[in-house]
Amino acid sequence: MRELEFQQALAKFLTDPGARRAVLKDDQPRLGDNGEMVEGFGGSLEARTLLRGLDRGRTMLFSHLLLLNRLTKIVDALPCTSWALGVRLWDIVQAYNVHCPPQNPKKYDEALNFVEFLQHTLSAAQLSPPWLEDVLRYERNVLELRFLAERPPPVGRPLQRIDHDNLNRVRPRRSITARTVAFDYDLEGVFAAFAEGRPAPKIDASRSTLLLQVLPDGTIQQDSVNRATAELLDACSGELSIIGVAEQLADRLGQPTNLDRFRNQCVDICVVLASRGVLSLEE
Amino acid sequence: MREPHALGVGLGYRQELKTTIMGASDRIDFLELLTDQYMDMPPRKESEARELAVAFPLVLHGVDLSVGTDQPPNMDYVRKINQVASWANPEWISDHLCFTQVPGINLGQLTPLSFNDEAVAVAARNIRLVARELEQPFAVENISYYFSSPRSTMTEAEFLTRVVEEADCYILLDLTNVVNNAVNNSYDAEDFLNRIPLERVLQIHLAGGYWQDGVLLDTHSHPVPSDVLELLRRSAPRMPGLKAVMIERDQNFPPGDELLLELDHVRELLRDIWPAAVRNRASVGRH
Repeated sequence: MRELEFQQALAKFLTDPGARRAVLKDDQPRLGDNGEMVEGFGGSLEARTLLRGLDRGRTMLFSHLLLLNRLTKIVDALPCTSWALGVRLWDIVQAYNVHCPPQNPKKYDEALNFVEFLQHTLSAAQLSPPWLEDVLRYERNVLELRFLAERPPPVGRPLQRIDHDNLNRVRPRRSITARTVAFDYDLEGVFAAFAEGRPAPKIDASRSTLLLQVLPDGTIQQDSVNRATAELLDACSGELSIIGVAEQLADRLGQPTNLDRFRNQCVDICVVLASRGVLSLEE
Repeated sequence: MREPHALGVGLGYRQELKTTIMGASDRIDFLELLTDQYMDMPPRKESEARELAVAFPLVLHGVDLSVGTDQPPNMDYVRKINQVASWANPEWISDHLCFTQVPGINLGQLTPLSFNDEAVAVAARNIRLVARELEQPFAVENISYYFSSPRSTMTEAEFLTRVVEEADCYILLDLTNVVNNAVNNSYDAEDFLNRIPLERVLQIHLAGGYWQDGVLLDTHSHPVPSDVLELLRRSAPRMPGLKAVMIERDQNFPPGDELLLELDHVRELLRDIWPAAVRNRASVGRH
């Protein structure tokens, strides 16, 4: 037996409670029709014998520490989600550990993987209170912005000022460091309760949209925006000119009575957002 | 490869300690950055590493090289170490003598190796392969372990000695881990130190943990215990190549002054037995 085989068996034994039980009870692996293992522990007899020879109390302690390590990363990176899940969190993390063996130790990877697990594995009833999905969406977006948002240079030539006679050539592009996120609940009361250590509140549904932007020091700036601004930002892909963006937005929102005035308002908003780094204006 | 400078008494850099650290450059001789916290990260982490390198001498310490995995080292990971090193300009680079991953699973925790000939050969080969890709000296750290591999055929001291001699690398000696392992695995800490090549010790780690279920855990969450400090006082004079002594704190962060006083205490304890503890403070240049 090579050291690698033992290391693989040990890693599985330490991280997979089902495999651990199978080894300790000396259950033989159950194979499927094609000879694949469907239950139990796939290691060799020698590996299973060696694993049974480990100090049981100490290996259980170490397995527990591995799980706590994953839990700690999740709580650190998704504090409000963890708070909202409350006493359910421990059971959910144990289920997560079974479904998703540890593969990437970085905190934000672990947390984003856990969000995926929650969103795809748990039923709507388990994802209570009703605003929990919004909290998940918020914290996932914050993590993605803080850790995954690279800052590629602008594709076109960045403009210092806008030439109003030449708006057809100015293309606004939303920065990868900013995004809008729609919510079904106003989370302000939730975050206040979390910060003050109060119990999770009951809040009524209320649609809202936040503009989230990661600043160079890694902090998140957030502002409530209305539907029109959110749609405008979504249209700023760098493909349409600022006039094209205004026209697309006019179509989506219903044609405004004064199109020229509407265009000018769009230009003004783009200039403000560009000054904050939410957009770049390119030619 | 450049000869490492004596650095003195330092601290592990953690975001939570930033304010304390940046306001105490006169009381902290060097910082140790966790290499993994600067890999695959947004540009602000590069900026941070560069800024810290201006303010302090730095060393880099990784957790996921997994030199004990019976596979060739991950050269993409080594490339990323070098990238971080290009920002931080460290005096040396270190990781742990353990395994953290096998194909398909990354345990995210320092896991003990079997103390046997095969594991010696694997770890020494991997350390040599990594070290030849680095511009800086390389050291491996002894870990805390709570269970022993049934495939072991030698003591931990013999294993560590054979690995570092076959790999021809330095030792980052974690004295807290020595004491923890001695307590948890029923051996004598002093005897362990008598059996390893202390002339290879480049750096010392100090930390404090707590007891759980009859096991002394290495959690970096408490002040350095007195028995660890006593072991430091007795053993440091026997380490002619020692360049750096530092405290690691990862959780349960105390007020900044408390941590700095702990650092002062370590320096004071070493004052008469390890000249670098005081001599270095004025002489080490910023890189």
